Amino acid sequence: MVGAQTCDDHVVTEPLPVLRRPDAGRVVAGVCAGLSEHLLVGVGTVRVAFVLLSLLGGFGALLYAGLWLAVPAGTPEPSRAPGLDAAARHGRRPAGPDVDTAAVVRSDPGLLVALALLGVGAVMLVDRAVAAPAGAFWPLAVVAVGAAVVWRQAEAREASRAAVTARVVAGVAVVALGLALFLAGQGELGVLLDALAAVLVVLAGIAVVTGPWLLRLVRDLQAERAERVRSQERADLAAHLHDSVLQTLAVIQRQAHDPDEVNRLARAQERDLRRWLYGEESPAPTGVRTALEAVAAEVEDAYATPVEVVVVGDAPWAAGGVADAVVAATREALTNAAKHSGAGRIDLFAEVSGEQVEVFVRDRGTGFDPARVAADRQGVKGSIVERMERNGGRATVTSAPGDGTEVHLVGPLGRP
Amino acid sequence: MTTGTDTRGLPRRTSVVVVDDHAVFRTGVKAELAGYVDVVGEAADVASAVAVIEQRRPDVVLLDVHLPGGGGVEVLHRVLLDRPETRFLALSVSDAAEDVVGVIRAGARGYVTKTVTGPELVEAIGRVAGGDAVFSPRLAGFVLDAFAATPSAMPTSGDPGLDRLSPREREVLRLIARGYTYREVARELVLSVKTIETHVSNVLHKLQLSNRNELTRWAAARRLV
Repeated sequence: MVGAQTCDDHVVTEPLPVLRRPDAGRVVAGVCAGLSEHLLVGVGTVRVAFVLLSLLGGFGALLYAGLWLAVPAGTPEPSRAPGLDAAARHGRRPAGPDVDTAAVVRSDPGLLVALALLGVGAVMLVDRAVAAPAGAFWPLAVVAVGAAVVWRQAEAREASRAAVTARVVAGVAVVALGLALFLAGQGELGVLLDALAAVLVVLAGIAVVTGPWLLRLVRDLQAERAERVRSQERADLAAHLHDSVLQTLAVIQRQAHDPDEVNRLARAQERDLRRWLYGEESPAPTGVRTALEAVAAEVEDAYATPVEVVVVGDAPWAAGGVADAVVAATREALTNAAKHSGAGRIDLFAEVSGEQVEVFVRDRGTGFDPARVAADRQGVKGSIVERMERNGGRATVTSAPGDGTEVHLVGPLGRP
Repeated sequence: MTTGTDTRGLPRRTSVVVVDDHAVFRTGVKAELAGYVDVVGEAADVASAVAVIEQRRPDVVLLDVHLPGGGGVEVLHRVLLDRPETRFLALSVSDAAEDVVGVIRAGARGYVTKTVTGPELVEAIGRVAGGDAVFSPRLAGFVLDAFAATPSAMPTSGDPGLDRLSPREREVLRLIARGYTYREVARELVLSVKTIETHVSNVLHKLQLSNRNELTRWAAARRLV
């Protein structure tokens, strides 16, 4: 990766935070906390103001209820330059302030109980104050509980859609049951049924009239959501290309006089892009495969010689183990090939089975006569052959002048 | 590797259609192939590729994996339906498993990446024209990976011969994965090049026809099929 500069052209001046009811720091429904964030006023001030307003004939409480209804819950997502999140995910940029909207899901039974008690209390109060007919309390209490369930559901965002629907239906049923009980207690069930029929007819009429319009609204909403997903993907892509390919191309243009450097940059960029486009979902971070690929990339970068890596199978890799020794010897073999052979390409093939890891490093360069230069080739002897032998493995170097070189490494696995 | 000339000594020059949506790449390939094969047509998407192949009847189609209109796999499906004798050599910048194995299982007889050198490409075209298979080291690695694991532990369906590689085939594939040419493989194993070609063709056949559970699962793990 070359240059991880920030996109200055994307920086915008920060507007006031969007008015939301945040999940964190709420006491009742988060209205005061949200207002304080929005207006940049201390949350205590807002709360005192609401209490004072409530003393004015309950105006504050009404205002609170209204805002509760009107203001969406949740922490506002800070608007950031497109694609920055994607870049941060891939470790190209430092992650921004950690905004974790999904983590805070309030499923607090205590709150539900409190709401229910509040409802019951209100019903009792009404019962006393208005001197409602006897026997009205329990039906009304049931209504209050049902309403509380439905209202709570409007708050929940992370639950599955089916669960939400089920709970809303249950809540509505409880409300309906409460009303029916209430009216039955008043001996007016017949009236209720008549009224219900009338209401159903009216609802059906409304459905017929507004149905197509509602349907279109829903479809528009879906289309808009899909479009948003697409544009997010485009932004991810743009950000990636900006951070990687464009930067590399810029550097390449400045380095045009140095073919080795251009080669190295192009190869490194190609590797990076490949990993991004075709990379496997979750390569084991500490596997032999990853370690070998990293070593090959290192040698490619250092000597501007492409290394074709083919790995079959995988096994865990740990520092100091046999696999580590194999990887280190592979690095040495690749380095030798890149430095001395003059070959235009190096083939690295590794096969990992349950019992052993086997590596072949092949070049088609000048080659050498192993019998003649063995003494002064300390690199081969010390770093490759002896290293493998110390770890219970072996290394063979096959080479002939003009015929290239192949290094064969075998490391036994299955013991530390 | 530089072979320089087409060593197969074909009586007439092989006719080739180049299918790739990058005009620059088509031009480059044509320039590299000039003098070795006859490029008789080119196409930039699935529909025009099918039309050109139908009209020109080339010996070999050089086929890009990523094409507008359904990809190289779509071209393979459509052409091989009517003309199963058409020979395809897949050519792509991608070395993702699903791309490589995908076009092979759809009927391509070989796979090379676009970094292949001119002489290597000429040789690969010659091989495919002669009815043989062309395996890059990476493709050989994929096949070894896919057919790895203990064959006995796996309940296999259909012809058991299709579901595993013979020791000799495995040996050949390992040498190809190590970067050996067919000629070098033949020398190493003290066999004729023709025998190596037969082994590789058999492996291609298995790769295309095997119903091996392991292969399906392996491919699915890499988001294929």
